[in-house]
Amino acid sequence: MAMAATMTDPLSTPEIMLLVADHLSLHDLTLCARVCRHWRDTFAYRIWEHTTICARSEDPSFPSLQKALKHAAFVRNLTVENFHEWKYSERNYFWVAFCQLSILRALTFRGRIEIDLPVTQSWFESLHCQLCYLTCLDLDPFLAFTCEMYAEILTRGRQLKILRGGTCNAKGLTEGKPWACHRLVEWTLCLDFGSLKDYQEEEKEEKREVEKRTRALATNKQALEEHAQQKLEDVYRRVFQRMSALRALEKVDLSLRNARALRGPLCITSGKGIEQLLGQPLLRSLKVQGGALAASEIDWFRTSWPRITVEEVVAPVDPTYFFCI
Amino acid sequence: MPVTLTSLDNQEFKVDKEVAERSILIKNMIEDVGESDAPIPLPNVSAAVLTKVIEYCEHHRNDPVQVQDETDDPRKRSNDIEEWDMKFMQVDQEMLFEIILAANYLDIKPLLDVGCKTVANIIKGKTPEEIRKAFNIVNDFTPEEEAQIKKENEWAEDR
Repeated sequence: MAMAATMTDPLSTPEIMLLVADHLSLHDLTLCARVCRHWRDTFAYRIWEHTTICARSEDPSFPSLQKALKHAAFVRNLTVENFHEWKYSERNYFWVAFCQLSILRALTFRGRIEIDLPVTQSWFESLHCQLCYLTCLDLDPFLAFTCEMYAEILTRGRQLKILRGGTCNAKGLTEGKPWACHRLVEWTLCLDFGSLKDYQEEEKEEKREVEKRTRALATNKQALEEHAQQKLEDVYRRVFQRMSALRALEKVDLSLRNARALRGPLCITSGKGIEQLLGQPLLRSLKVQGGALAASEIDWFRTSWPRITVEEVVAPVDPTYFFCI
Repeated sequence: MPVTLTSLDNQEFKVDKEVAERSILIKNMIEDVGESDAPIPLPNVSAAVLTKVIEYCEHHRNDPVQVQDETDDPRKRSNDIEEWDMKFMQVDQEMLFEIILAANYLDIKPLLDVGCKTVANIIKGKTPEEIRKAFNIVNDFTPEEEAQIKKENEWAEDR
């Protein structure tokens, strides 16, 4: 038995050793884990607490998926790099084993996420638990998985405080059950203009009248793009309307990809959604980035919301408008 | 107004309330009991250690209260120790451990932090065997077990 395990020795007190570990590099932590059994158990938590796994398994500076999941009980903050480069069997293993990450609070995906829906069921179920921070920016807006994932996140992620998500099409975002992530404080959402061009395909299945219109639109590229733009504005309105129910929101950041494909400036201020959203007492900041807003939109903010300062930030590609209460 | 603290070995120490309240434990006790001349017993702290703790609290009596960010990564925090604190911590290992335990018991976070940083500085750059020697710890791993742990954590060894 280790000598350190005496009543008067802080080195035998796990909570004190965790504080010591806060001041050590990852390299030193791995050496500490080899000192004795007692230290191994204490330092394993700090070694695996913030873990990044990468599909490029030849890179020795990342632990393998298997090793990370073996230490799942210690992982609080997980970053997954290049998820799409994993083999099918590895991706399946990840989703199935996800429920073992019992103390996970922050999850970040870098790279596209694509997988068969039934496999992810255990992950969706784990969204009921303690996950507070979720980042998954590179979703493919054309996949059914993206719609399903958003629906699941928004209806199950009851503890979510910060959600950074994209790219998404309209249907997955604004349809389905009421959103239940009422603790959400900050939401960054990246919409994809390109995905909206296919929006009429979904409508075609729903209504025959729309189907006729869609066919007519399909013959005219300009009309098709204008239609997509209208749809985008409609998406913004519906998003604002549903966001109004999330009373804890302090910061909303809406980005738009492929904004250069827009035929004209956006009009997002008509309809009740935006007014309900801006009326929320905790909301400090609304940022609409990437899409060129019409000058009349800026004026609307200035006249309707005198407390809001409008700041224009010139981004490398598209102008960014800041609205701060 | 002075406060009287009684150590494990029944020695009494009169200190300013402001100084004593650097300890959250004592602050809460004073708040619970209200204004009183009765000495506050600290049965887990010896006179020698309490003398050191009071010296620390006297020196830091005007420091602002630390606020910790929930999302803060502890490994990104500063490891620097102020010059005065560094000299204060130049004690033998037994006293260092006693100060850390007292800081933990009395709930004096800045002192606990300095103590933990001092232990971390002893550990830094040492091999597992050197760490065992420094703290008089017996290796209870088999060679195979130690090799296995090394293998599992090798991804982190160059960080």
